[in-house]
Amino acid sequence: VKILVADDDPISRHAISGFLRKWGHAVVPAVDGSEALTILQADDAPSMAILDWVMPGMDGIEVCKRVRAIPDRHYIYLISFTSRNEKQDLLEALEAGFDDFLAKPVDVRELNARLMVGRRIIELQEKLLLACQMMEFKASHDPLTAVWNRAGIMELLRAQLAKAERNNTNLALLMVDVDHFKAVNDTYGHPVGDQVLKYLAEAMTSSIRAYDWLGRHGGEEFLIIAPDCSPEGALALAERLRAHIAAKPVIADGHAITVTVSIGLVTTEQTHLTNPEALLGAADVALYLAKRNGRNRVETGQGNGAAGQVAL
Amino acid sequence: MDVAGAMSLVAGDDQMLKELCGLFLEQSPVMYANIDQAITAKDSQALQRAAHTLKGAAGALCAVRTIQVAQQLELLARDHDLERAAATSQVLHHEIMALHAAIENFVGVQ
Repeated sequence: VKILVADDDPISRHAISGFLRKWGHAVVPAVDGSEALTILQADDAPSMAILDWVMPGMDGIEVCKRVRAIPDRHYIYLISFTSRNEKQDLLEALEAGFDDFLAKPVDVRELNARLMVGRRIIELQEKLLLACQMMEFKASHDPLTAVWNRAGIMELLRAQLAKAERNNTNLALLMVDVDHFKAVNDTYGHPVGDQVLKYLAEAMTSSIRAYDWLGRHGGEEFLIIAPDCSPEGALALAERLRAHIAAKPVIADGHAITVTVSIGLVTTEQTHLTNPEALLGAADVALYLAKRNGRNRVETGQGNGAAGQVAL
Repeated sequence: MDVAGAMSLVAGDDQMLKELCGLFLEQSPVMYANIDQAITAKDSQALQRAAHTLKGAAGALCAVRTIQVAQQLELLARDHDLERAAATSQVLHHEIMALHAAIENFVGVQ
């Protein structure tokens, strides 16, 4: 664990730091309150801090209060280190936001025991944070392909559309549908169909730009959001994707299966659409056109009065 | 200096205790200079802090008498009694010198 030790007395600081290092911790020393606060405000702040109460500049109580006032940051376990041991002092420290109390002069066995309590809390917090992150991922990602799920990609589409409108940049939306996917499932079974979808998600992930977003919209249909991308660039991206997938068969469960995709492409510049549902609808129309015109191809939607609408 | 007490604080780690002793020999003159300066400047707040720091340092070595005198000085500074503080700081200086001798004796024996 990385631990901050703040004390203006070099002897107490050395005693604590020495033992912490001996027990395998990384020690960040500070000689006064302001230095301690600066370190604790940094993004890579230690997860534990032992703060002397009486320090020049800023005392431990003030450092503690300011650390606790920082919004949205990982919990720092704070131990007040002091020779003040009246009940009133204890209450003041706890009220200021300290988690524990370490009496001066420091007794190495007490230090060890207080540290154990702190580690228990920190580990608990880390586990909780990890569980929350996992739940968040699961709520927004497709379990089969690990790309964004419908809710996740739609949320991104709303956010990216708003951003594109704000920055006056073009956003491209690609609706990618696997051709004759039902036949794959019927011929080889659903487990093989799942493998094909997984392969396609990986292939698409490696073909798009690092700042594009890929999601599974449902069934065998994927969505790609390409922000800040010209209509020509978007067409090149869609064509590259289509060709990449058609180029070689998918190997699944010992079968070499030829898979192609049809892509409906729309851009905000060409459609003048800013509403996510409307843009999605236009992409759907373009996709329908790609299917009708023979599959394994890209069609671009032109928005209102578009070729796609006429074709319907 | 209560060697047994100090040794107990570090759970018998005599190497660590020697390091702390060395640090005290090195740093206590600086700490005392801060006290002296605060008295000359009649800055009772700085004096209170400087005395407190020295008390903490002496605490790690279980130097009972130095701790007591430093604490007295801290309280006098808190009460802005700079006249008595000046006299007490002389006593403290004397105690620190005695402590230095005790530490050198301890480190030498070890």
